[in-house]
Amino acid sequence: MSEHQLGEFQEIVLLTILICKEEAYGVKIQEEIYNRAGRKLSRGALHTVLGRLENRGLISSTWGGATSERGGRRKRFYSVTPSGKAALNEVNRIRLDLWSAVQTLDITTKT
Amino acid sequence: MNTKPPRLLNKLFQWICSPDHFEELDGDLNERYIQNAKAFGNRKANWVYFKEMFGMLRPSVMSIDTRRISVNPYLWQSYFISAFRNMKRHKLFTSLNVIGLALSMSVGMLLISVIYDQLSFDTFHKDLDRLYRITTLSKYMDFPDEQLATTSMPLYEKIENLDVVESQVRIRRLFYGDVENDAKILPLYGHFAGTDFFNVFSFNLITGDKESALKEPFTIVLTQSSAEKLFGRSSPIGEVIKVGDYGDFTISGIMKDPPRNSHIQFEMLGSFSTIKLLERDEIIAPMTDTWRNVTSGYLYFKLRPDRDPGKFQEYLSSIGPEISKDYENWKGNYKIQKVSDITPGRDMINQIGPTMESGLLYIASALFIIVLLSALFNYSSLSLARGIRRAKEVGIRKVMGSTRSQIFWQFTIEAVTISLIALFLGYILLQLIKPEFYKIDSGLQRFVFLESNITIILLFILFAIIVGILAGVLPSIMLSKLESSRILKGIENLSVFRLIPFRKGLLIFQFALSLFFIIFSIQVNKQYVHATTFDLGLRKENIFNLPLQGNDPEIVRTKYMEMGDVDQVSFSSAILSTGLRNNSWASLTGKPDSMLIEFARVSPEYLPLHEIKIVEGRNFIEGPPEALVNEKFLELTSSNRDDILGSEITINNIGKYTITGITQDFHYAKIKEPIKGFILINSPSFQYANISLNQVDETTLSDLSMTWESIDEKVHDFRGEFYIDRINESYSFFSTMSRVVGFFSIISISIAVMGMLGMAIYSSEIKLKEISIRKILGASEKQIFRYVSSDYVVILFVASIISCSLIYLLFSQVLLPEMAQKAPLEIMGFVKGCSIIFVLSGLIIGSQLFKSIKTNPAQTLKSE
Repeated sequence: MSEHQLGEFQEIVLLTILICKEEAYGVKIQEEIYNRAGRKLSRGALHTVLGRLENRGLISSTWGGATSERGGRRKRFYSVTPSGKAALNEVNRIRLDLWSAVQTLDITTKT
Repeated sequence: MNTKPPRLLNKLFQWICSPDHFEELDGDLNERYIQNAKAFGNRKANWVYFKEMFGMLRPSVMSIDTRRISVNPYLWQSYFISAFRNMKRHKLFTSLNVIGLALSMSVGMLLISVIYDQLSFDTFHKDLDRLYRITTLSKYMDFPDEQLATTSMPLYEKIENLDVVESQVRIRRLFYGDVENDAKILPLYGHFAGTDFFNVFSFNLITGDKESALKEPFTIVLTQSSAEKLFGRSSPIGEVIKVGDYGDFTISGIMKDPPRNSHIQFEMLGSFSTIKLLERDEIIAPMTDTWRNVTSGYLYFKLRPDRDPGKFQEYLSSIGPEISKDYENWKGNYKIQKVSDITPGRDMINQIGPTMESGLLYIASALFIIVLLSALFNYSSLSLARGIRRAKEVGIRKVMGSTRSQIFWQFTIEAVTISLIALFLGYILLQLIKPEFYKIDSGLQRFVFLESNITIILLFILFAIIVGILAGVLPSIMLSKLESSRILKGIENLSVFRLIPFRKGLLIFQFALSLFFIIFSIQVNKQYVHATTFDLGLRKENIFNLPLQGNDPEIVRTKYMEMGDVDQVSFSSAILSTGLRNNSWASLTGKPDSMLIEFARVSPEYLPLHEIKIVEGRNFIEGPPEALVNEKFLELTSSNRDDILGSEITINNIGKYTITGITQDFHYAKIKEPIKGFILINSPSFQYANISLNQVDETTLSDLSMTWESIDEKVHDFRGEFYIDRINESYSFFSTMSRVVGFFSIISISIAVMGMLGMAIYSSEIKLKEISIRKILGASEKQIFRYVSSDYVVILFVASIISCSLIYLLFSQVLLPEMAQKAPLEIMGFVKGCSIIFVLSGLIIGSQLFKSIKTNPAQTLKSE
C-alpha cells in the first residue's frame, strides 16, 4: 500500500480512535465501532488492525491506568499520529472528489 | 455476578497469547467481561468471552510483532560469518572436528547408498504389494532345518484354481548352455519360466505376445542383448536356435534386459512346458510332479486385490503336513514371502539371484551408529573445551542483547556448517572407499550400485544437517546457558567445569570402543586362518580346478598331461568342500528304506589325486558302475563293513552302483556343516577337470591358459581356479568380517586419537599455570610428568578392562558356540590390541606433555 492509502476497516478504526479522544483503548474502541457503525468486532481482529496501523506508523500507543476491573492490568491508549491524520485527510479528499463527480451527473440514488 | 472470567478459558488465553500483548488484551477482556456480567448476567458474559477466544487465534496475538522477531535473515547471515571467523581462528580444533566427522560420515554415506540401492530392488513391478513367492522349510531326520527359496512344483496345480490367486508362474533355474544359430555360438544363462511370467512380473516384452510367448514347449524368449549378440540387427522371431543339450528352441519373443535392480537375472527364458518333455526323454531329472524335490523350482504368484494373504497362508500351512505324511524322514512346510521382502531379507538357500541378508544391514548400521556417536561426542567435548575460550564472546553478546535462543542458534549453525564441510570431505573419502568396499566380496557388484544421483545427494545433505544439529546441540545448550555476569567476572566460575568427569568418561568410551574393534578384528582373522588351514581330509594344495565347459574329458586330459609340471588329471561333477554338491534319495538293494544322501560323480583318479584315504575295500575303476561310500554312511545304514562291500546301491534317478570301498570321512561340504552319508560314483558326467601340479609358479597360470586355447576353439574363455583359493573364498565370510571390522577400527581409532589430541592440547593449556607453579615450587620434570599423566593412565586402564571383558564375553557366549570348528581365543590377540592403543595414546599425550613441561615458568607466570 502506498503511504497514504487506507483499507476501509483501517479508516474506520482510525476515525474511531479520534472520536474516543483520550479514552481510545481496546474496549472503548470496540464499543464505539459497534455503536456508530453497527459492526461487531472481536478483540483479536481489532488487535490485528491496530498492530498493522502501528507498524505503518499511523498510530502510536502509550500505557495508562490500571484498574481492579482489569485485574490490575494497564490499559494501552492509542492516538493518531500526524502521519495517520495526513492519510485520513487524503482518503477523505479522494472520497469527496469522487462523490461530487457522481452528483454532477445527477445519478442520485433513491433512498 | 462473577468478578472474574472463567478460569479455564482464561488460562487457555494466557497460553495462546504472546507475552508482549498479554497485559493489554487480558485487561480488556476482563473489563468487558465484568461490564457484560453487570449488564446481561453471567451466562451472556461467559458466552461472549468464549466467542472472543476464537478471535484470539490469530498470528498477531500468538506471536510477537514480526518486526521484532529475533531470527531474521540478516542475523542468520551474521551467524554464518561468525562461524567462518571462528573456524579460521581455531584452525586446529576445527580440522580435528571436521576430519573426525568426515570419517564417520563417509561410512554413513556408504551405508545410506547401500540401503537406498537395496530398497530400490524390485520396485519396478507394477503390483509389488501383491507379489509373493512360496518358500519351504525342509526338515530331514535330525539334521538342522533348511530354509529354501525354492519349493515343490506340484504346489502349482494346487493353487492354480484358487479364487484368491490372480496369476502365478513356475520358474526353474539352470537353463543354460551354449546357444547356437547358423552363424554364432554363445554361452548364455537363463531360466525356464511358466506361461504367465509376463503377467505376474513387469518385465518388458518388446516383441511377441505376453500370453503365448512362453506357452508351447521348446519356445524361448531372448533378452535384447542376447538377441543382438546372436542375430545383430535382424529380427530373430521365428528363428530356431540350439540350446546346450536341451534341444532346438523357436524364438517367440524379445524382451528388454532385466533391470539391474531385479533379483531375478537372466539372458534368456525357456518355456516351462518344455520340461515335461525333457523329463520324459531323461534329459532332466524329474521335478514337476515330485513333492520332495524342493530344490529345483520357484513358485511366484500375484494375489487378487484386497484379498487377505493370511487366509492364503492358512491354506498353504495345511498342505505341508498333509504331504509330509507320505514321507517318513522328511517334513516340508510352506510359507509365503512378499517379493519386496526378498532383498534385503532373510538368508535362504537357493536364492534365484543376488540378495542381501537384512541381518548384515542391521549389523552395519549398528556399527555405524556407534562410530558416529564417537565422532559426535568428540565434537561436543572439543567444542565445550573450546567454549571456555569463547565464553567471553558469549558474555559480550549477551550483554549486547542476544537472547538465549539466539546464542543457541549461533552455535548450532556453526556445527551445521562444520558438518557440511565434513560432508564434502567425506564425499571425497567415500569415492576412495568404494573400490575397497567392492573388494570385500566379489558378488557385491551385482546388487550394490553406489551411484550418485540427485536423490542420494539430497539425502546426504539432509544427513549432514542432522548430524550437525546432533553434534551442536549439547555445546549450544551449555553455552547459551552461561550468564554474562558470571563470565565477565572470571571464567573459573563457570559451571562448565563440572563436566570434567563427563569428558573423562567420554575418552574411556572412545578408547574402549577402538580397542574393542581392534581385538575383534584380530580374533576374527584368527578364525579365518584356522578355517583355511584346517585339515579337510582331502588335499587342496597345487590343484587347479578347470571347468570343462562341454569339452571332451579325454581330450582335455591328453592335452594337459603333455603340459610340463602336470602330474595327474581327474574329473568331477562338482568342486567339493566349497558348499556345492548333489543330493538324492538312495536305497540299498534288499533294504526297503531309502535315505537322503549326498554324492558326487568323479573319475577313478580322483581318490588318489586328492589323497582321500580308503579304510576298507578298493577304489573303483573305469567301466562298471561302482561307488565308494564314507564311514558315516555305514553308520546311518547301520551296516557293518563286510556286508556293505559288494552290495548294490540304487540312487534315485541316477542309477545302480556296486559298492567297492569305504572312505574315511572327509569334509565334502563347508566345515561348519555336519558330515552326512556321502557317496562317490564313477558315472562319467563331469563338469570339472582337477589338474594336479608338481609345482606352482608365476608361469603356471599362463601355461594352463595356453593349453586351454589349444582345446577350446575360442568359444569359451579360460576359467578356473586353484583349489586353495576357491576354498578360502568360501570362507570369505571370516575374511570379510575381519576386513570390515578392521576398517571400522581404523575409523574408530582415528576419531579417538583426535579426541585425545584435542583433550591433551586443551588440558595442557589449562594446566600450564599449574605446572609452572609446581616447577617453581621445586618439582622435577619427572614428578610433574607422573602427576599429569596419571589421569590418562587410569583412563586407558579402565578402557582396556572394559573392552577385553566384553570381547571375551562376546566370543565365548555368543559367537564361538555358533561355529562347528573354532580356534580358541588367544591372549596374544588381547595383548596386541592393547599395545597398539597404549603406544598411540602415549605418543599423543606424551608430545603435548613434553611441550608443556618444558615451558619456562617465568614466561607463563609473567602476567600474574
